[in-house]
Amino acid sequence: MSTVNLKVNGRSVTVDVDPTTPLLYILRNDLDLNGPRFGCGLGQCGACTVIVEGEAIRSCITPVETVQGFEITTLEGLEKDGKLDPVQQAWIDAAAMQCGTCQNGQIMNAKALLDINPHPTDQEIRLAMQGILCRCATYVRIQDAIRRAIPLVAAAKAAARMEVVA
Amino acid sequence: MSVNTKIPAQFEKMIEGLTATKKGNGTSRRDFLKGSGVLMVSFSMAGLAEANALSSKSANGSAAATQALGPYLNPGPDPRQLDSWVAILPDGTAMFYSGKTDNGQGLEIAFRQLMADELDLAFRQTRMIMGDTALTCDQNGMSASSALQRAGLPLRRACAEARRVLLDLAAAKFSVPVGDLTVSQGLVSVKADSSKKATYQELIAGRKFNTTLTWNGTYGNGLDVSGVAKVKTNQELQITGQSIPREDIPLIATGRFTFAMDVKVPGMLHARSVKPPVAGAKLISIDDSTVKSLPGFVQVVNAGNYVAVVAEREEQAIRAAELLKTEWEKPSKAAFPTSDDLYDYVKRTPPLSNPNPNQTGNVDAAFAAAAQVVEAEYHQCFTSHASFTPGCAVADPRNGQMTVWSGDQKAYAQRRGIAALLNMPLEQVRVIWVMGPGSYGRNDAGDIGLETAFIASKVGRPVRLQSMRHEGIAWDPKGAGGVMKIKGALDAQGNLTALDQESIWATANNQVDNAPNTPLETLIGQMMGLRYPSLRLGNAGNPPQNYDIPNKRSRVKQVPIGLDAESPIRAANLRAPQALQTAFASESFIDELAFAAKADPLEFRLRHRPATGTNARARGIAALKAAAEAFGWEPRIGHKPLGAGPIVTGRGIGARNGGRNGAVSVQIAEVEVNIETGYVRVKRWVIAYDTGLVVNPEGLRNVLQGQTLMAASRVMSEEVTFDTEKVTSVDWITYPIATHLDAPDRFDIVFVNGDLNPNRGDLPHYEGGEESTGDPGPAIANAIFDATGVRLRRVPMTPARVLAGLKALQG
Repeated sequence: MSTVNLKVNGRSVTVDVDPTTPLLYILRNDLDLNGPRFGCGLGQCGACTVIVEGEAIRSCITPVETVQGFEITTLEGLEKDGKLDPVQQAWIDAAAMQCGTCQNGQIMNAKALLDINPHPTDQEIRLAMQGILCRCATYVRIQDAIRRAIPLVAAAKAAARMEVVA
Repeated sequence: MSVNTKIPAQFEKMIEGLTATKKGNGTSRRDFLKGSGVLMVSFSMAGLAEANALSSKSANGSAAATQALGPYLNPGPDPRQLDSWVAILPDGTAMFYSGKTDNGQGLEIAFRQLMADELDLAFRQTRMIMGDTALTCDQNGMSASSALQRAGLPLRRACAEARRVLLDLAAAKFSVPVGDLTVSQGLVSVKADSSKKATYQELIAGRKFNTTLTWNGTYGNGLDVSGVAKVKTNQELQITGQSIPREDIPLIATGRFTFAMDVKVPGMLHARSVKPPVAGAKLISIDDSTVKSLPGFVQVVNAGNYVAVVAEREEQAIRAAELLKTEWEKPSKAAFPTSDDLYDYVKRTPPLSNPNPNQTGNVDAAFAAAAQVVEAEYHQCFTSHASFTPGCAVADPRNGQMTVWSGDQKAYAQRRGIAALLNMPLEQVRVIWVMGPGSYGRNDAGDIGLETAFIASKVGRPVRLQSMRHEGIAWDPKGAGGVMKIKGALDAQGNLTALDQESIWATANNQVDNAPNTPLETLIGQMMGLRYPSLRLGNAGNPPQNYDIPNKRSRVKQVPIGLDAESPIRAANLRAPQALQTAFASESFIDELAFAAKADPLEFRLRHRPATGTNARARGIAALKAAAEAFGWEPRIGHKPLGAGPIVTGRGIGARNGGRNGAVSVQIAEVEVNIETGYVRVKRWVIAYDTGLVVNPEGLRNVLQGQTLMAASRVMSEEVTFDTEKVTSVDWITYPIATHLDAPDRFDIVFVNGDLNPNRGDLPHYEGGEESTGDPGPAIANAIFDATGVRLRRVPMTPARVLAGLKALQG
């Protein structure tokens, strides 16, 4: 066991764990962040996705020591000042799930996609999302949610720019 | 199909980028929790949890049940008491109780819509607790997507009776006849004098209803209750028919929802199972010297061939399970045939069950007189439930009780199984269903619930057990495989005069009830040496013969498949059990007959009139026509000439016509086939679905879309593979499922009401979605044939099989 310092959802935390422990278990069991979840432990399904420095990564195969000091965002951290992230809003509008256990990965990967490419084509969406599995196969709705999120994300960015100017 | 092409690169890049570690500011975990507003889960009275619940789904997972509440009711709340079904809470909302469960189909919302209508409440004035054996009557949990069909009316009748009692109270209060009262959103008022009014909560004033219902004496799917009051006609329902959104979706989308795998109990330990290296192996010895010194190690739990390790932390349990030394003796003979040998094996193996065929008309005479005889044989592999997160449960053994939080869709069966396994009275066992991953039938959740309770009973502390991925795919109960042979007789006019079919299923094993009612039906029970005295039969079926054919014969055989217990390929119900497999055969064969008869596949189906029974036939024909119209079906005899490629397109129909629980489903798929790679993609889906009264249109659309793509996944890419010792499909690479690449460009759903009396006030709400599981397989196979002339008769219809078919055509 050793001390590991993390920055999760804008806050700094210290945990005393085996530093090779996958980040997923620290988030879930030490920080009570249940958004990311165990799907395969092999990096194959995406259930455990979190965003580290803007990039969607698989926390089930990421030793916690390798992300010390980096900005880690989980599903719980997307909401800002009580306002849903536009991607979350689009998900709710589209009712983009059946059982919902994969949706952490779907939302987090979509968030990372739209941050990099704010106007993806349908094929770009499919390709970017293909590594995030859904056993209920609600892919039609998830892709619909991403298309709904595109204008919402753009509007939120425009609003943020207005605030800065004001 | 590649499911993880991006991961290694992403991971490597991230590691490369991590050259320096930056220091945090030393904030402790406690501060973090406080600062981020995360509330530590605390124990509270179950009643409080009920009252505070947004919905059962969030309440059930809050670990709010107190252990001191036992002993629990045996077998559960009394169905004869109205109070077992509905309570009016002090805030004026109605709490409904149902022993059904809902793994994301939106059933809770649909029930509340129907029940709110019967009680004259606004939807927002309702809540619901589901699937808690201490609080809800045994309605058998989820079962064949038939909950609305089977439980909808009893729940509506209970609410109609509650309304009657409340109106009687109001009539007495205001000294007027009930007929002089009106009620809206839980407010009862005198029609002639609107100053005289009282809310439901004022009328009931915190008391119980104490009203007795008539009960049919049955628990489970068939449980029925009724009161004096009659339910409303469909025309009187106002909330029913609206697309009320699910309340759990915003919670899930923000990480606030508690799934079964998120339940935490203070002091909880973590466990992992250690599975035998090969099926049927006998445990010789355990050497815990390699794990004893590991940090956090607690103990090894063992009974018979069942082994688990327990540790303080989850990653410690995973490590201990990897490092524990176990010695096994392999069985003296092969556990089962290989998956490649499956079809020959079932044909050459003496059946355990070989009943006389069902027969109508004179089949032999019809074949003797036939102008043309068509024969085909269809092969179905084993498939896995492969739930998205592997089995997980939490069990708390304190205070002499065993409380289990489980995603098992059949909480009551699990309770009985746990009581029997642990030799505890039912009164001391409570199973609280919490939404888990989609279970699609008898997935691994039943096994895991019993395993967790067993481990907790040995450790004496609360335990959370979760399977690893390989266990979730290699060791879950399986959808069975088999062979279907069909022969059809056509007369000189191309009419189908006789069908003769035989199915052989690899379903004879020790898994008969498909629910963990008894440890005999579970993996842990069998690993502890429990056995039925002889092999049992599973759930087998024949392709539905739902066309109007004068002469029919069908026979179903069941053969054992190797190991009779502790088998990783034991058969159990998987989403529309056997319906996906049988429909693949029957609806592919109808197209083969149409081709032989030089008929258009749609015209051939309509000519032979789907389904039996006047109303079912009318609905079947209406659904076929609706699907064809929505698709823009143009008649064609024979398949299209094979184009130059590389992409060629085709269309195909699959129709189930009321095979399960009353609904009617017809689907048309338009596919693209890449004749160079063999890759098939469905560009467009059309579904015509008749479920009678549609309670929540958007909810039903959601289920139908997912159901269709999952069924397509099962016939396009999924196959449980095994050698003679073990299952070899163990993860998402070796057991590939559909991905985002498989989403169609367009998905049209048409709701059909083909009832002969479509406006009748008692039009039923039939089952909600599973009927559509049978259609995608034949629709895709028929579309591939239309596009290429290649007829695929074995699933999964992989690119390699498409290419092999094309090569065979070219000679």
